[in-house]
Amino acid sequence: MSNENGILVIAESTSEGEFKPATAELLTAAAGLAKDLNEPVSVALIGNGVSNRSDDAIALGADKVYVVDDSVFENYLNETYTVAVAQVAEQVNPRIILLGHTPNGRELGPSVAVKLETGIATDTTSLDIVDGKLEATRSLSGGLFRQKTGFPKFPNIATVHPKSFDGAEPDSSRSGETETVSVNVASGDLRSRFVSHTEAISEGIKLEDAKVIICGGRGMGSKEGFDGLYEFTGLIGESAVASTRAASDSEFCGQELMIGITGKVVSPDVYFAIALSGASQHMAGCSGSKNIIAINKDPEANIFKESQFGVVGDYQAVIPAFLDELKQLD
Amino acid sequence: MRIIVTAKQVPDPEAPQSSFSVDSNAKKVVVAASVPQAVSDYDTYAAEAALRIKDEVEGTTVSVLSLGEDHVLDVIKRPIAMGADELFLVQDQDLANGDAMAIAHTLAAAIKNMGEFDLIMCGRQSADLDQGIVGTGLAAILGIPVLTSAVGVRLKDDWIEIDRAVEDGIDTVAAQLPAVVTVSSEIGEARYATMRGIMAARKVQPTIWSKSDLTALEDSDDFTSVVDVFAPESESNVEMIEGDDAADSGRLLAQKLREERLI
Repeated sequence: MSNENGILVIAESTSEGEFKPATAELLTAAAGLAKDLNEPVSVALIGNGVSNRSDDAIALGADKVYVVDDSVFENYLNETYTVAVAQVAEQVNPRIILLGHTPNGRELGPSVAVKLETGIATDTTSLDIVDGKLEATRSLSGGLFRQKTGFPKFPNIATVHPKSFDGAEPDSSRSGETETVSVNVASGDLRSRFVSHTEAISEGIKLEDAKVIICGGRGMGSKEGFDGLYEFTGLIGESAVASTRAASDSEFCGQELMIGITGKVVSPDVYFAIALSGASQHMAGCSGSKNIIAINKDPEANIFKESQFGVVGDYQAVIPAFLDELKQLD
Repeated sequence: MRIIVTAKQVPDPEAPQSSFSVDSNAKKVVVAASVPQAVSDYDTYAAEAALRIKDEVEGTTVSVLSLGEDHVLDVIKRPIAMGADELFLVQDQDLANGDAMAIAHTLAAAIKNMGEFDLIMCGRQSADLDQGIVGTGLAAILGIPVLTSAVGVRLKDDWIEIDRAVEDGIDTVAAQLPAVVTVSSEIGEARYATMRGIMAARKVQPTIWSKSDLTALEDSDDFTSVVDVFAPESESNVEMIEGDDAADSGRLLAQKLREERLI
């Protein structure tokens, strides 16, 4: 291919028919790259009944929206979405394709890369243009190091780590074009299928929405110790309890509370990191927090380097006094 | 049925951070020789998921495939000691930059050498590079369906059904065999090797190939390049709250956070 042009963002939608936060973040990233290249931003909007959201994509920064709207795309399936993205990509001939490093985006990216016979960098946290090509930076060795990846082939494909960019704000005065792309996927020929979706039943506030997160690590020592963290949520508004993978693996709590490279990625105003070392795999899920408060008995724990405030001490002594004082101050 | 499990040997990710450094000229991470090798943990979960099917379906063979430059047999045989049946090693020195797409192509060619299979199970990502490309890439190269990050796996006749965690819950998806499934840690703990398993693993002779044995492997330009590897600048500006004892520090912390209007 030659005359590659612009950046193609693969949009993702929620079941409520809105763009996922990752899509607004990708559009911020794409806007920066587009400015450096002086080239347009395109969005692939794939789904069932999504045509009417083209204007929303334009408001978020798309110069052109390619709509693939068919009942076969009602639910994400690697097999069908790979065909749709590849077909849009062949039409757009983009220089760069960006996907969110979301459960679906990180599955879709490598399939699209194989189909387009090019390379991919996953879970990238910053993107630069050097000589008209993308250079994507990602973590290595669980966050100890960074690797800058270059792309000998076009298109350059990257999945982008959640919260690496602020989400684009909609601007309804923006204008752009919309084009419908007809993608033929014969549902009878498919070798995979979507079976069902089970909504997570979460008690209290969702981790992604919490303003304050109280995260316990392996050092909590027991389920009983871990359960003590819920006392915070009674005293602090819009707060929720989370865990490290080590704490979940030790069965102090369920896997759904896990923050980190294989868990959720959060960016609350305040993140209490309690009895956790701050392993880079964990920090990948919380380093976007505005303030990290560390409580750990090991003064050498890595988490202190990442924190605004730190207390060295056994959480079993620090926390009861902390909570009592908080009650006094109320 | 036959299940192929891909397994990567990595430096123990739990090793102290000081054992890892950057060789900026070679653009790679250097690991101290003292760091033991291990099977990447997600791959042990993939082996576990495969062995659960073997427990259920009589006549199942689990074949382990690994690609690397310096395999330590006692390490890479761990899935065999857990209960897998055979081991295939592709030895190649040219993997230093971890170009995952090239690795997926090499594995796909090795799988063509291995013959018939029904299911390929991979860890969702590796413990050292965390790229999560190989499983999906492999499926696309082989032209078979892929389901990723399984937290539960069920065999249903000639279909494999998995649960996968998505942002707001769990998706259940299914694929017709042959297929690739990548496995997440939520699948449940990987079984320990039994003494009998360890003894049996000792007798298993791996089939060893070099790249030139992989006739299906086509020459390809690099898919990605390593521009730079570096340590991020750390700028710590932590304010330590120190009271007379731990409890006093806790009280002072509460006061401080209120003062700063953080809570």
